[in-house]
Amino acid sequence: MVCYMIPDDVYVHKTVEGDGSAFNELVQRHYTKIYGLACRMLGNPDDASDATQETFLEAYKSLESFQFQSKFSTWLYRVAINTCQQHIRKSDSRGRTLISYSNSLREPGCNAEADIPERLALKTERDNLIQAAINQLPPKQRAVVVLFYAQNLKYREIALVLDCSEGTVASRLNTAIRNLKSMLKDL
Amino acid sequence: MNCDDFMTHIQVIRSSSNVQLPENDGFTRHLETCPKCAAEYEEMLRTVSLLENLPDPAPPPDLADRIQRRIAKEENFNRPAFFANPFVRVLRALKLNPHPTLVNCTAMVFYLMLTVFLVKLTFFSESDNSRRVSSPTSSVWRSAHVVTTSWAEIRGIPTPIEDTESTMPVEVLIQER
Ligand SMILES: [Zn+2]
Repeated sequence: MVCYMIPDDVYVHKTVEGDGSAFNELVQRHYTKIYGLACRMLGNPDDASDATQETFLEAYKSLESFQFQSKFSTWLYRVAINTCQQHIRKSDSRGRTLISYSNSLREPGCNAEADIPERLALKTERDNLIQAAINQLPPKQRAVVVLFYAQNLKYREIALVLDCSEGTVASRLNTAIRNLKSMLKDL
Repeated sequence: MNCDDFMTHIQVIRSSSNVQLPENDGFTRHLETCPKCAAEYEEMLRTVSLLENLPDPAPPPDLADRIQRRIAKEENFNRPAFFANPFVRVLRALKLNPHPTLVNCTAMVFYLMLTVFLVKLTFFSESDNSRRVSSPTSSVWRSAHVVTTSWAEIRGIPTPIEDTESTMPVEVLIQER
């Protein structure tokens, strides 16, 4: 985790007081992580870009509700998870994901768009299959897997993000790994 | 320990750690003697290792700009208009924070009412009587009076008094000739 000289909270205060440029600093600090989270949650680079933008927009609009009881990043993860879950519920994200993955598997290396970094990130066949398996998990299990393995958060932090107990986090993670094990058997 | 106990209680979350098994010798012994559970355990370690080695997706190069543009747009959209600034100052002093659109609308209504008031004060400040005369419809209203009649009378049909609907009084404006 990157440590900054000036903590996030300072920029949060500045933004709430009306300094628009302060929020840009928060965007610069966190957008890569939030994009990574959205990408793994939604399994689709385009949806992930949309969800990342919506996450920051929502965070900006509801920044006054941030009570400084947790780290800003934890709060932002919570906003991101909610946004991703809305995406999953609203659109047929799972269908779009599977189509995009099966297409990329059918045309390995000959897709001009594959050179775009956001697609490059998910280019290998094995990664695609793992991602497709993650997409098959129920949203709550998916969130725990992504926060633990892709974002390297601890049980305590995940519990704060998802507003549940550490025991629930452990149990969801265990169930998710067992589900993934059977899905990735032939890999 | 049997296979069911082993599979129910085993929890594998990291591939590298040596402390994968619960702190109970029974688990280690079962693992050494049961090839089926040992295979399952290896499979779980492999799954976890796959998850640990997933690469971090790189965001599109213009994503930060796109986010910042969208926020700037939102900020401009949600900022009270310049003409609402006096209202914003008053609301801030009162520690109120209504939606900027509401502030803008209130300011517009206030300015509209102020304009109407000033126009009225400047051009229509004569006495009440002179204003009546100047109005084109005033002669009609001056000579009108209100009488109470029933629907039956209006229609010219004699109806029994018990018929409440047709005897319901109505107010009719009749102009004097
Ligand atoms: Zn066994």
